[in-house]
Amino acid sequence: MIDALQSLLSTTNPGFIVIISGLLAYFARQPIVRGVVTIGGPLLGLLVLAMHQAQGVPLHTIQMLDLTMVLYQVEKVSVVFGLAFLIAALVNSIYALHAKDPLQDSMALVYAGAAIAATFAGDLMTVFIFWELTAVSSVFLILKSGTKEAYKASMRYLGVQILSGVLLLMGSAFIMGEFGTLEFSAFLSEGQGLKLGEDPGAIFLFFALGIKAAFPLMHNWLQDSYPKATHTGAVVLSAFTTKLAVYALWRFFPGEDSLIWIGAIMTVFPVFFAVIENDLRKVLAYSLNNQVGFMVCAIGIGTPLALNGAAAHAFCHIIYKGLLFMSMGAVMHRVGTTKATELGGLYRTMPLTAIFCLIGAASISAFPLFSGFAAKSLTMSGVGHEYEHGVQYLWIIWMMLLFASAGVLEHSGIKIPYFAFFGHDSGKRPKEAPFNMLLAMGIAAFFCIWLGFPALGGIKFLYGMLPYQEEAMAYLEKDLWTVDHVLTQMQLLVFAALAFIVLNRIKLYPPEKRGVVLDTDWIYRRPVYASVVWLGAVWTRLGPAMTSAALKVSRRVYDRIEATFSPQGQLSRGALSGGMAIWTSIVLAFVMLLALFSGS
Amino acid sequence: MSETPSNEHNHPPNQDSYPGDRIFGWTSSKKTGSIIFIGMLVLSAALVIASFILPHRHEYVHMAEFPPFYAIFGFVAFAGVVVSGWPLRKLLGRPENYYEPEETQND
Repeated sequence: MIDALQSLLSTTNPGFIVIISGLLAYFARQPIVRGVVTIGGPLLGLLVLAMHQAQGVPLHTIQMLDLTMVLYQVEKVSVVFGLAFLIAALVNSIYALHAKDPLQDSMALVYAGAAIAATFAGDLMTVFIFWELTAVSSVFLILKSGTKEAYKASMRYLGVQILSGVLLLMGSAFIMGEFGTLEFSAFLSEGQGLKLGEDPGAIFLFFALGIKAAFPLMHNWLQDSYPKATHTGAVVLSAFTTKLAVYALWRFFPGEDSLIWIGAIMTVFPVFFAVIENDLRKVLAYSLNNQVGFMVCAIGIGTPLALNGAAAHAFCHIIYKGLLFMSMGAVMHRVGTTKATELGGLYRTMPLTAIFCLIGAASISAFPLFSGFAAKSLTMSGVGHEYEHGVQYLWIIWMMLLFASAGVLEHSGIKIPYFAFFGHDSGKRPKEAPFNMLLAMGIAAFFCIWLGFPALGGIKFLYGMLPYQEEAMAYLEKDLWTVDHVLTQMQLLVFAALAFIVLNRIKLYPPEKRGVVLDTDWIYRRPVYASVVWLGAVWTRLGPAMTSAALKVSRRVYDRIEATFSPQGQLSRGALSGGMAIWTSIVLAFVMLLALFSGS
Repeated sequence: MSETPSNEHNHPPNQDSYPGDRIFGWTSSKKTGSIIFIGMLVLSAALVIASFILPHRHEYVHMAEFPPFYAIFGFVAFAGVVVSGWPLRKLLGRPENYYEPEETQND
């Protein structure tokens, strides 16, 4: 019995456990029972992941409609992403314990479970199914805000996410046609992905992943929807969708050159939007874009060092970005807004939230001794290393990433904590966040420090888990903690912070101002929407007139036909002089004459 | 079912002591700004001096081998981003009800 259970659990995708616990959570109406289910699910998922017995081979397959679906296959990189997702799901469940909302609790876990299940899938069809499930389940986290704005944003979000799924399915169809199977083992090998322009369907997959990873010009669904989600929902959303896309890019397109530029642009442009954005949760959404850019760029570089960097960055980012969203969620919960113009001075009554926010801010800014430093350094070194080995244009990319690193300090490192908890006193004295929120933030903060502080062993754990373990450990021993590396990073961050102080003192820092910032969503929210409204208005105006005109014409034609051909009509008038007979004779005679002459 | 913020202002705004004052109270002192500014100047100077004292470092991008390269880059990049905020806000900033003129914006 125990053996059978052990064998079942060791071959079960941990995502399924989390999805099932999410479904159960909906029916658990007692908050305590629901709490046990929502926390128990991710915990059991972690246990199941620890029990897997082999990597790189299918652990659970089924046959469906002539397709072999690999429901569970563990790879080194999927462990990194899957583990981070499971930790995030656990922390998010604790964070949401106070919110007595079964549907939201349920959907948050189904969404997390779907992302985890996709991470451990071994074929494209399974990925597609869970890809779509993440879209459908996560939309509830935005909808549950209950505002008209959130409703509209959630519909836009759903449309974009479903489009990504459709593109994924199209790409899969091409792969199926080419390889006769959708199993990854048929078209992916160690460090080798699909080639754009060579493999049919690759372009569809690329755009499917690009939408979900929020590539430049496809990014704005993120800034549009996440800040409108519930205060717990935004935390959940920040962890899964974009990182699932990063995972998929890691698997399908490692070393794809175009990703280098796409990623670098992603790191740079959100910095400018974040500086003028008033809503701090939207600032975090831009910051998310910027962070994912580092990972995308590293995947494009495609060397073991850089690919390690992308995976390590994703792992740390899921936790510190979650922490920052949690701190802003706590502010949202207590104050009712995250607009910088209405905040300030909250440290007085929310000191613990402020401390946790500062830890998240230090981590994302990559201060030495915090997790971001251990993760981002791999990517920076990966880019620099390839430049040194002859890829000339990479010095521009390296500069762009360095610029973005200073930018991160501006929007996430300073702006978020400063305008919420310090800065000018808003006079607001909200209560400290509820205990469960503080506990969740505390756990995330612990990870941020554990993964950054060398003596605590977290860095060794993280690096030891990375797909290219030997390269990672060599980097840890030789490069990460050199005096030069720490000094240069401190120079960058301290001088950037000094710039903040100087600009503030000479009043050159733009004061926070109420308002919205136009981004690419303007295109579909203004001109495209206006065109559709205009066409609708035109139809409303012209429709009846056109219909009546068409009716009049058709009625007139019918009347004429009836007047001519009906038994009482002109052509039937009189037996001998019946026009029909005469005309028939004339036409017949003409045809016969024609035949006669043409024959001779 | 929307989540209503529990905007509980238990303490009157003008009350003198709050739990956070013990940890962060110093930040609202009038002198703090100057002290932090001077402290940061000292730290910045120390970091630059240290970079000159340390032996020549190897960098992937040669330009970065100039000892205070990262310091200059960090300051200029940060200042550039922040200052660009002024024209950018004029270009891209719109009133809060820009997209939904008939409704009040709600988070």
